[in-house]
Amino acid sequence: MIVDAHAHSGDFLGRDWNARKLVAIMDRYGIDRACISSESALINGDEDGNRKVYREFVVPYPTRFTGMCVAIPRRSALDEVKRCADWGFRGIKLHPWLHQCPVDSSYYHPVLQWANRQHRAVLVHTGGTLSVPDLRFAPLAMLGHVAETYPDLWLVVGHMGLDRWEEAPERLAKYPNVILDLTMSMPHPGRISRALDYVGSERIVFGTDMPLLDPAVGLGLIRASAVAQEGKRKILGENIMRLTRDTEASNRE
Amino acid sequence: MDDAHAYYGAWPHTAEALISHEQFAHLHELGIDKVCLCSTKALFVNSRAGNEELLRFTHRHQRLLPVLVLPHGLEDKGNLTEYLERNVRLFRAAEDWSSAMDTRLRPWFERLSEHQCTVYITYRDEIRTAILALAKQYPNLKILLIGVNYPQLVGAMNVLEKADNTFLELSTFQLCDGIRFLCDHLGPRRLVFGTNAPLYTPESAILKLEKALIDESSRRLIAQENLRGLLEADNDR
Repeated sequence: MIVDAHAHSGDFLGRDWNARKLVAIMDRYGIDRACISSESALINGDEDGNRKVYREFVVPYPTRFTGMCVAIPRRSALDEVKRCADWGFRGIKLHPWLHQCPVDSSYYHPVLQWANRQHRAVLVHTGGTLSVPDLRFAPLAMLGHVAETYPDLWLVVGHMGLDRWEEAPERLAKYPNVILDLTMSMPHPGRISRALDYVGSERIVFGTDMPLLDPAVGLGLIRASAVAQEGKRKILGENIMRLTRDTEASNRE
Repeated sequence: MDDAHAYYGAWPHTAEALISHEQFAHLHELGIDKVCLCSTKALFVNSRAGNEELLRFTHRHQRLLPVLVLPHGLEDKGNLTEYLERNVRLFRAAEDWSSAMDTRLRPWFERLSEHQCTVYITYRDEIRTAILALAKQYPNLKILLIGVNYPQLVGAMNVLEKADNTFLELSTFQLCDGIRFLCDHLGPRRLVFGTNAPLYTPESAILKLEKALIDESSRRLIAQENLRGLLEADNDR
């Protein structure tokens, strides 16, 4: 089973990706399920984006999409996260760079506190973008501090630290609740082995960033990797499923 | 398929250097026939020394084709006549080529244009107009844009749409369903397969082309025929 831990809904570069088109791409690459967050909530700060993900992706395709709630750093963020949890969203997505708010800011604090109590997976974008490197909002030291402060949430480090991907595994290995997300547009061959050396296959997840990036980037990296079959299974899907099952259990409490 | 974009030598990062024929065997195992190589020494340290080293290496293997770096400094006259006599058809502009265009590089581009050679240029939005000017000034020169990903798409498309002698190498272009998008907007004849090995894993580039929703004739053009066209256009001279 292949589960994409890092995907989006919405319109990228003027190309509107609806659920049907995204499912077609997933089918072409053999991706069974995708954890999806709203592009409009990320880029435009539009909370209605979460509702759209629920209505247009999660409800019509419950076996293909797992909702990830975009928490926009406002005083109302926790209410939105709880609303999404009621809809069955299994994780939270933070984008400190797009929202220009450090991940340890007080705006995120109630959300992280809640995620900690609920053992949620929190996927955090790291760095800026490809063309604008920017480490102000989620540097590795700050991520380590968040992982330490909230030891019962799963801190999924998006893009494995982006342009700090070589340092991230070593610097973050000591926090057992840190998970490294392989998603990136540059398929460096050393990426997986670097992560394996420090955190092992249990703490690495595969992601695509579709429909911005082509799934071939990440899948090719795994295809080429020397990691054993059991490790590949974990990275390709078992790990992110385990994290979302944890939150499924907590929903029932 | 043929790989238009790989490197000979070490990168300063973690990527393993490609320096032996045995290491290139992996690319051949993946189904890649010819590999076009640029020397990292020529690119980052000394163009002439790196080019010479690369020529010695590729001379011993017919599946490896050299991409020679144009001179960096005014004092470096390079050896273009010899390169052309040795049937080298692929060249790469150094990162600062645009600032030197009116002085030292003009004679090079004139000769390369006469011979319908191909020049690789790393696309950046800051040099978009300089690339367009070069393409217009030398219509027989073929320009292969490299280093284009989604942030550069709009600017690169502007160049590709305005100048028929420009082409796009795909190893860094990672937009979802991007190859189909480019085929729809530009046609398949302007697109060239490459891996960016050893900096990038070649499997990603191969899978991207394998899975692209395009017809088989377009896939063949991108995988091999377009690059062969760039190499062979000068045969009648």
